[in-house]
Amino acid sequence: MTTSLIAEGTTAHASLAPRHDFPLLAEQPALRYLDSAATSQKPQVVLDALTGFYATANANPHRGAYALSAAATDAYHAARATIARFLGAADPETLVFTRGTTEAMNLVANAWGAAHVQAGDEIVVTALEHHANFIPWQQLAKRTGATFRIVELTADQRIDLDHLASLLSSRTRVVAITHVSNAVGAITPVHEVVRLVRAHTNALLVLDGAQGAPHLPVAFDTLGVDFYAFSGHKMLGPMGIGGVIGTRARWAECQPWQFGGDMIEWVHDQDSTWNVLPYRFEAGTPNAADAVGLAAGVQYLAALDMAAVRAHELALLDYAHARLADVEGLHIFGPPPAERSGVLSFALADVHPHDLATILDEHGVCIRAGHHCAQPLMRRLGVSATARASLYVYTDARDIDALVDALVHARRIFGATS
Amino acid sequence: MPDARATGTLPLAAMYQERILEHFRAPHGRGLPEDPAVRVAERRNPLCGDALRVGVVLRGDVIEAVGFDGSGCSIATASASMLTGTVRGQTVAEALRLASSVERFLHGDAHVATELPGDLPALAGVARHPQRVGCARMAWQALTEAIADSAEPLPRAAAVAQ
Repeated sequence: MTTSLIAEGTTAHASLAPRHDFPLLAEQPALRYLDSAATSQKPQVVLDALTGFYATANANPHRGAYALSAAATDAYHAARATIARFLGAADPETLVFTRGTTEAMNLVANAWGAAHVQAGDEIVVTALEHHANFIPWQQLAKRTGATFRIVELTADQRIDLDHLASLLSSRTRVVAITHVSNAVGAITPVHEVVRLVRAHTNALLVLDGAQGAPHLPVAFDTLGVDFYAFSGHKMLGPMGIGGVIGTRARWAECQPWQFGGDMIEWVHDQDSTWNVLPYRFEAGTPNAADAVGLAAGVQYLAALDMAAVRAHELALLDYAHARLADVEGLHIFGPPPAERSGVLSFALADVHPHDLATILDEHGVCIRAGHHCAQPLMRRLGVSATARASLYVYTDARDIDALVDALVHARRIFGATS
Repeated sequence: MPDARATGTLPLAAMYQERILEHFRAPHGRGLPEDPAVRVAERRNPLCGDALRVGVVLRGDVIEAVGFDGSGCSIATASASMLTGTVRGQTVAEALRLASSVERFLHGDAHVATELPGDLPALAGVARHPQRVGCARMAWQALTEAIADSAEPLPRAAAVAQ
């Protein structure tokens, strides 16, 4: 019945990256993976880079006075340079590696926030934030006695810029905002936010790029924000590596937040002095192997071209909207595709998202059902959870078609009437 | 073509049996008992943010009234609906024993099925979806908490956040 549609769709909307570049997808041809906002699949080149590091360059970077340790150090530094360049930062040493965005936000909240935020100050976040860019600031406010303010959203879950403007003042010390909403895909108009924040405050401006860096071209040096955090595993890299890029001026205002090996210059009995940026904020043995893996991932993305990645997701979103229009009772959250990343967050009549995810799983369709670590947003949507399908470079029309077929089946099972 | 899997969906058919869907569409025991002596306990599912409360009224050690409220998926709601139908009139000891049997059943102990009254055996399919077992357990865990310490009435839980 839908065979002709699928064939037609496949020609019109092939994947941007060949599915066979991704061992897991190649191994499971029937799998329809639509949960890339949770974590992306990994291309062979990333797996090869990981194995390659361990097979040819494995030693502790910055430690040994022997050639192998130097090779590990070189690989780690080269990875930093590659990833910084990919994100548009000319100075690789302004990129500090972390385990991911969550650790990056905790770093900034502690390393900058603890030294600069005090009672009477105000911290501004939005109702769109992932818990990782919400709780560190909420708790910093609680610890310091600062006021925690939340920017409300428009009816289609975009940041209400008028409300943001109304909250900004000379008391605002931190503005922490997502680049792209993980839960509904809304893309933040960064230039407008930067303009407002700079016009009304001297605040630290932090962008959560966990869903931005994998899907949109990012040029940190021209973005105008103070810190930009990202997670490697959502952009073809391994789990456990990510980072935060900051301006030299803002890094200079930060205090070390984790202490130990590698981050020191000299340790005296009663006090210590610190290594330079970026090492000052990378205590302990660095995650060099995963950094090398992520560097291979961003090189793969750069070869695809990030503008093409965005165009691919937009085309698929349009295709998905056209096909999903046939599914009665389906409501898609968030702004229209032009202002949305490759995320379809939806409700199907009164079918619970968990039930949807289970039925879709039986069709080989992997989606996320839950609060997406965005409970403040869920409260404002008046739901406990949504179902979320998310796209990436290996997604094609067959994935969307399978999603639509499975949703139609779910409707049949539940006999939804609304 | 994905539909091939859909038509042969034995596990799905087992999980979303008509019995379960009936309970979901028209649950029994919806609403907490309106009684000053009601004992209420709440369970939350952190995966999806669902919250379910079960309220019981004991007369001696017999469950005289039982009901539930809150939001849940079809499995959580059907399980709660079946719970209210089966434990009403049972003693605390009987209900606790049943809750423990349901627990074993949901974790794959199929032998327990013969001991389960009413529509409860229809939950068998849930055991094959480990990530959904938590949904079915919510009501039974809340019941256990509500009646476990029969000596002290529990404070009424705060309104369930939607």
